[in-house]
Amino acid sequence: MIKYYFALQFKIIQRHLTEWGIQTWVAFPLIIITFILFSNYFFSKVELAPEAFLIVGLSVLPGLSTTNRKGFLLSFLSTSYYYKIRMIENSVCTLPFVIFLLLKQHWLYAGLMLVISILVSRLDTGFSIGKSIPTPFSKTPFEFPVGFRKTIPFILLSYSLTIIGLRVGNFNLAAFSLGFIFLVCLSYYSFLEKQEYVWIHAQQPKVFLLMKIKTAIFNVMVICLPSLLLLSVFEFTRLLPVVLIFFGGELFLVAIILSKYTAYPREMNIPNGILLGLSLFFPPLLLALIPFFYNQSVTSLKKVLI
Amino acid sequence: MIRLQNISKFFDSHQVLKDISVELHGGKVYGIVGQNGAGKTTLFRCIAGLESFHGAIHSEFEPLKNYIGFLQTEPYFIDKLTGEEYIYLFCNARNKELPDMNTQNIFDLPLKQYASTYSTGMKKKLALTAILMQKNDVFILDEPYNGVDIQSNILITEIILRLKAAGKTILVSSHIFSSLDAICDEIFLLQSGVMEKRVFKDEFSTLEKEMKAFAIGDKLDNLKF
Repeated sequence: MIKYYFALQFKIIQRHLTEWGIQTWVAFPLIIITFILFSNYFFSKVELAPEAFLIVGLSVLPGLSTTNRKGFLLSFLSTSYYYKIRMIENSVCTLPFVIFLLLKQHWLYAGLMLVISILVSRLDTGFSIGKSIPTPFSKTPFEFPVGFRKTIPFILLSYSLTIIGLRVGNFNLAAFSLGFIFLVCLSYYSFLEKQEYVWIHAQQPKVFLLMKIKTAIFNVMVICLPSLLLLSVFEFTRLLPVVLIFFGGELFLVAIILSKYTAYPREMNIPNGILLGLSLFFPPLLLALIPFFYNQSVTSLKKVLI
Repeated sequence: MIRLQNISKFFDSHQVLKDISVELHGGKVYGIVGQNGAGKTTLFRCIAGLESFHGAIHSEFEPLKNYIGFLQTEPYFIDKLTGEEYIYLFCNARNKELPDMNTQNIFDLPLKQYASTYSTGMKKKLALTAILMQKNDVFILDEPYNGVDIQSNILITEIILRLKAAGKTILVSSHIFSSLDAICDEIFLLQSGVMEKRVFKDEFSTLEKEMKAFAIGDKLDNLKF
């Protein structure tokens, strides 16, 4: 059963890759090389890279433990099979991060990540009762109310990192926390909504995209506000890097939103994904990517929005 | 008025809709009946502009999609989105003012709960509430009575009649003939993608008898209880 389940998962991934127009034998080496390059770059540039790596690596796990997913899997799996499968899934997801941490000789973080990923497989991260978490974004659904609820622990963690960074006089940590909030908010746009959710809009593609961007820029500002205020008050003399992180983050957010609709209603294609990845290493590239993605998105959305 | 002219739809080489031509007028309720797979939902999706098709649709509303409220058979809800936020999303999408849900919650739905946790009937009622809040001119209701309790069925019938009185164009599909009988001015019979019949109110009982005879036939003769 376990073997069949994972063979099926592999097939599903292959189907997605085919949809994006890329062969499996090209995709996997490409993903591995990109991961290694990005991780090396990250470790060379960021002081707290191991801690950040731990957080980013573990952040994919809650999504696999939702109530809906658990219910679905348990509808055809026995409890023992379910936990075995969940444990393997979590280990596979964190394995690249664990291996990289081991290679960098961060034994403690590697071990910690493996233990947490196994423990998380026993958790249910959803809410079985109907109560919802209130958000300040209810009037502008859907990305921010939904994303905020799913990532509250990470948002609180980033606020804590700001406070810890300022208290111990580690400006880099405090500044990283601001960048981390942007990373969390970018994840809100990783999910491609069904066609009907775009179709209901009476706006033309240009207006639709501008509305999405305006909402995102304002809402991410609201989420960043506590960290921004603390940094402005206690690190007044070093505001420039804070401002750069903030505007860089906003630009990247705009690029992510636009890239999402470049091939709509299909997923973004691999070349655009690579370009987006490159812009992380070379942010000025965003200035060219944003209009490029915008034109592609307008063309794609015309099929749905008229 | 909405005029469908020779609408045909192919999925690869399989033709799902064959030269469908009808006219729909404001202030009228049109029913569509047909077996599963007859093409009802595909026809609805073509009218809504969610599917490409051969043929043409002319309408006084331009673009038509911006005036349509489409209630789908199985509405989809994003995880961790509350009922209230779902309604707000629909209103924002059409630049409508956000309604006061204390007065507009006609089905007494638990709007602060996640919509994905609702029962089938509650999901349908929420989706219907959302398209009503959009103040559309055309309503396409695909199986509005499916999975909904009796009290809400009565309420939905009354809502459709009021929409009709307000001059809206309404297209409804249902597997429950009696529900169509109560609300429709005309019923179209769709069979294997072909609009077989157009039946007016005074002939509904004949159509029901014909459908019964066709559905049952001699299928039960050999069944022993």
